[in-house]
Amino acid sequence: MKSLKTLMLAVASLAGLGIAGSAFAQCADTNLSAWSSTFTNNATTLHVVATGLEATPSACKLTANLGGSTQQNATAIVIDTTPGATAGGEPRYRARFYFNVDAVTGASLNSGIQSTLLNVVGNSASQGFNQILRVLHRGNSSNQHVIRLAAACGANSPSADGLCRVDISNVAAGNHYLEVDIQTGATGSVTYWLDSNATSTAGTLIPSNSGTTLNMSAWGGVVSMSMGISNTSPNYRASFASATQNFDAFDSRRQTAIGP
Amino acid sequence: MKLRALLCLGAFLAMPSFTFAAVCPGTLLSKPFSGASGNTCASTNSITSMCGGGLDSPGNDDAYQINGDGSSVSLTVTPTDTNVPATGAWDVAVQVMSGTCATGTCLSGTGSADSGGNGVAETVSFTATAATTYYVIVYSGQLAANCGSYTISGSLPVTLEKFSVD
Repeated sequence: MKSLKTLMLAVASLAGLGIAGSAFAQCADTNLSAWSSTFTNNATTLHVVATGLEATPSACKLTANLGGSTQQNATAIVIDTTPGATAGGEPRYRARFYFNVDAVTGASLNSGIQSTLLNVVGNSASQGFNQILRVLHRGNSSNQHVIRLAAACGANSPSADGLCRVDISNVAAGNHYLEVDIQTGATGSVTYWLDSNATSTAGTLIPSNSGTTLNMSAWGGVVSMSMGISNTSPNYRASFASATQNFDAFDSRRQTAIGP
Repeated sequence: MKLRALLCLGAFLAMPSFTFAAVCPGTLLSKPFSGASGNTCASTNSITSMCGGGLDSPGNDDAYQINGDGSSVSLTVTPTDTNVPATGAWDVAVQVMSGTCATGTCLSGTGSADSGGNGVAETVSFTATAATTYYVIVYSGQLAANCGSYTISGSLPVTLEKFSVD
């Protein structure tokens, strides 16, 4: 199946040749041009730096930082709009990316802390938002890392906001990878794998008030995605405005499982 | 001798084709630009989010269109009412995007403004590339209830289109 986008932020073949210093040389911000666009404001930053996040690290990774900005619109993201080339958006969309949010930790990592790591945007807006899926990093009362997936689900939402959520609590420090399989439409679904190989293991479905059916018909297909730091909570900006979050190896496809 | 030059100082000045839209894409306002005003609470426009979903605007917003001609644009949006309970004023934010309204490419840096808090004016500035359409989005950040009236001031460029000496 055709790969929609593979942005490893690394050139594995060069690293494999063992060229002295090549890992540092190739990890330049010029790699950001591989994306449809990038977006930073205020003092926020995006950089491509050495050492990837995979188990066998690639040469480079992406770093995002609000640069001390406490403004509500402080954002540092890379954007892929290639799914929008399909009229109405891609009806099925798989994506996988690596992340490390270890810099957001400590006693301040509580339930008031939240940043969005990944946005998957639909062709239309409904109920005040157009993200088909958001991957959020949060804290809880035990100062643990929580990964929240919030999917558009319309009438299948247990709440009035049109969202179906699942929290993955007590996520350990370190590098992680998350894969999602989004099937849009009136009988849509979102399957996810956290640190689990989607090519060989069954994923977990986001629950709804109809079992696992997500009514995504109002949002259409997937037209774009963004990855980085966005839509942060006020408490995040107050406590972690200078924290660096790391990302790597984003890949998206229509159907085929991606894996680590 | 006859000389002709473009983009020189002096001589005959002509207004570029800058037009403004009240909503996305909205009604066009006439030029020359002498300021504009609006109220996002009364707007029927709602982008919901911009920049690949990275910048939420859950409340209503206004969009203004600029047809670029290669010159610099600087606009300041000043909130003019105090209709927000508890805070007394609303927190305006401004984002410039190119290409298409709502789903266009967001301009980084000074094309994005939300440096102040409630009641504070925000300024965006950017170079409007010729033959490119830009949209200036006036929104209110994270809170749907945070909206209000405002004025837009600033300078739109005046470009010399023709200079001749006979």
